[in-house]
Amino acid sequence: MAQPIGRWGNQLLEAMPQPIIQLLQESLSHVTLSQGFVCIDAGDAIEQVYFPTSGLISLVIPSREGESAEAGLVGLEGAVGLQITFGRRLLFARAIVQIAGGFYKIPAEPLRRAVETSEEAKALVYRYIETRLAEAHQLGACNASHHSAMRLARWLLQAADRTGSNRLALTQELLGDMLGLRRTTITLLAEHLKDRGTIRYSRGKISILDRDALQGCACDCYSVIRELYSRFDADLHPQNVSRVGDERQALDMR
Amino acid sequence: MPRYTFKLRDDDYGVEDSNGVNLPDAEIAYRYACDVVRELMNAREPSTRSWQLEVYEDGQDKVFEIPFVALDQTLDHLSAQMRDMAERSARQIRSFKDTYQVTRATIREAKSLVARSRGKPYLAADRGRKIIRNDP
Repeated sequence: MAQPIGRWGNQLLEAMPQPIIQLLQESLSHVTLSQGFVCIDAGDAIEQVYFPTSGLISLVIPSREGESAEAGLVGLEGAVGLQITFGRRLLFARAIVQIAGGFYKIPAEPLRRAVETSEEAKALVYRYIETRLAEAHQLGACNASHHSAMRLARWLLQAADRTGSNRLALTQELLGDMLGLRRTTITLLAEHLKDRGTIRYSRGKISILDRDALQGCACDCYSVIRELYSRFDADLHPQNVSRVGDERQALDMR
Repeated sequence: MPRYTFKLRDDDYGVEDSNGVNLPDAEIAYRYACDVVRELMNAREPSTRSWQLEVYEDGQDKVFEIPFVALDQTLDHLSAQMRDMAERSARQIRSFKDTYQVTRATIREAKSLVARSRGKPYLAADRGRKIIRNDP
């Protein structure tokens, strides 16, 4: 995933046309949110739109039985609640902070009004939501057919990309909730990953030591999804052909 | 509430959950362990078929030993006889792997002991596990 450069620390805000940013600037605020903070609950009206800069939001589908399944991860590559620009009022999933960190937030109405004035901004939002939809399809297939070791590796890589950090502050319990696995399963899988030199972990923190090796443990879904966002990013910045992630893909003979 | 810990015997040296979980009783621990087995096995049954999960109570007694093959639903379509053969075969492979791992560990330990006794460099640990076991 390309690292955002520039003042916002979030790729969507970076990509917003300048006139729109001018309109949004006074309504945008930067906050630090802690783990477990519910940004928007399932079925609730979208009152704020969140653009993560260093934190990570999980989109979770709660089930009646009390267990929940994660439907997506949102970090510095995106935003939660952007569908408000189409007039869509409710969030289907629960948006909950998984890794504490920084977020920009903006009330829904000012954002909607500003985006409405710009074809370019609308196109940006459409393409982003299109990318997320493709990702959701890939994740659906992944959760249905890939084994837990691959899903864990995939999740860790995505979380590292989307928080911009190889050090992830989260517990194995939380990881278990997100992946629909028992905490013991996570521990055993984490031990396997540790044995392969890919990660190190201590209470409440997981560090990625070898990204390439960890990618070797993950399913193809990781690179497929990363490619989706690379393409989205490339569409936004056609003049910037080469970036860290893209260089690696250019070298990849497949 | 008793604390249940877990050891996974796999294709390598095995891993464990030494922190474990507090669970009300052995029956619930068994069901929990079966869930863990299914979560580890799901979507890769053939490659985990010879694995085994051991459950320990309060750090001492081994209360269960669950072979992955016993919970493998992808074998459900087999006749009872074929299923039985698959389970026995998996057990044999497990037994072979256990023996192989013990032998390999013993050989490595012997090599290190010899090198050490000769004042030569030797491999002291692999992935956090000491090569020379039970060293005073």
